[in-house]
Amino acid sequence: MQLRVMVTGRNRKIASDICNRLVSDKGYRVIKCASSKEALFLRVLAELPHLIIICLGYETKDTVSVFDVLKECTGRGGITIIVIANDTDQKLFINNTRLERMFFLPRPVSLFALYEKLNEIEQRVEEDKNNGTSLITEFVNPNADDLPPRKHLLVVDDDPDLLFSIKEQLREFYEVTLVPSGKAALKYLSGHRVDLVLLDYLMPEMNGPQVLERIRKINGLEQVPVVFLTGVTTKDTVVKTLVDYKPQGYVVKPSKKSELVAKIIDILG
Amino acid sequence: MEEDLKTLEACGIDLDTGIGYTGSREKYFLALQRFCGSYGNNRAKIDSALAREDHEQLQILVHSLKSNARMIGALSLSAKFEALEMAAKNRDTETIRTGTPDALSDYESIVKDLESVGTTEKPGADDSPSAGEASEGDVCSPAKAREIADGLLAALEDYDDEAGALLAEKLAGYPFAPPQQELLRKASGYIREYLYDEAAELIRQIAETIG
Repeated sequence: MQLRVMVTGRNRKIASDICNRLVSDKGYRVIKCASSKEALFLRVLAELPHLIIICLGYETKDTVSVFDVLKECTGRGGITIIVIANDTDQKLFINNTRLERMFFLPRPVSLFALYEKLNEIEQRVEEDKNNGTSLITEFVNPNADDLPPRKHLLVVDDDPDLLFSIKEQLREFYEVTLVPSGKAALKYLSGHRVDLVLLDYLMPEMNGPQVLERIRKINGLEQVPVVFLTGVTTKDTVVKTLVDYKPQGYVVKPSKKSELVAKIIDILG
Repeated sequence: MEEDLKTLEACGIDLDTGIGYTGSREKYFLALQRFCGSYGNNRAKIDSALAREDHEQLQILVHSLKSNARMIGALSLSAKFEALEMAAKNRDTETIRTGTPDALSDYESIVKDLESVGTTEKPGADDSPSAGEASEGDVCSPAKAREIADGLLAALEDYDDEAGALLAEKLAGYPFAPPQQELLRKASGYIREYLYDEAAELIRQIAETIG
């Protein structure tokens, strides 16, 4: 049967090899995921994998502790965790995470041992399905290739360094286009559709409210969500304009990745 | 990397804050590279705004620098930029006069400290081999160069910064004459600053010279 396997972890070489093997040898559906709390949380909820393979490499307490986010998912049953690690990373993982149950596979990886375990998991999932006891019901989407693309965000800010940083924060979840001015934003929006606009409040030539006013006049973009990016010193001013311009809110910059993503999820779902 | 982190802390950088904003150590170092790489440009803009006594422009510049400094954990510097921002907003010329040299001195000092820990390969420095110069083994034919230039213009039309940067690097594999190499370097710089239309204009000029 086709297992859904999520592969994550800092050891990208091993992760990549395993992904390729699982697709070519076993025909599994493989989901690659960045090893950050937000990505793990969102992807596990979205994909409901049968198995998560964590490929550890050069870990620290901070880097392994992100996997605590899986505790809730694995605690409910149905998801097996296999951790590929050397002795040092294995000890670090055991001592610094709160996960209750996982399987360790040492490096170099024995495909034989891994596949044996995968066969067991396949059997268990098959049995659960037949007995109706699985918490996860399998659904094979015949239109998998037609699934909608990732949400597309436009970020408008006159500071290229901030644009770069915001894209780095959001790229694993969204398609992100960056523009350095209101003029460029309006030009882009005249020919492209986006799902949300992050708009700097204070910019030269055309400020955020002026850009928003013009966006609202573009056919088809009257309702596009707009979130102002504001520095602390302009926050009060932004709050006052919320009534006049009705953006979907604001984010104080610089913003932590989790706060920014949470704000976007709040609006886009 | 551990040594670099320790040295950064010794420079007064609040690493927890910086890594908290950027999300990971790797992305934090990328943010540091950008912060240092943009020093020259930012400094020139501030000096120009001061010379013209353009307080509005100064406010916008230090407003951005305040956030960027905070993002890398340079909290003291961020506070100084914030004070300057308020001074510029209130047209407080006395505070601008007394506070600016101190803030700029700190700015310069932090960038130098970051350079000393080897975390500051300035992106798109003029001597970068990827920006306008062919490196051995990467040379491409005129036909290939035209194909790349077309793809690059399409990427810039789409405001795709990553594809644009990649294709600009590939286009450097064509043995352009020095003036076109310089234009390609400039175009790469524009792409790094997301100035797609300006970059496209230069690429069109360069593309006309492909044999």
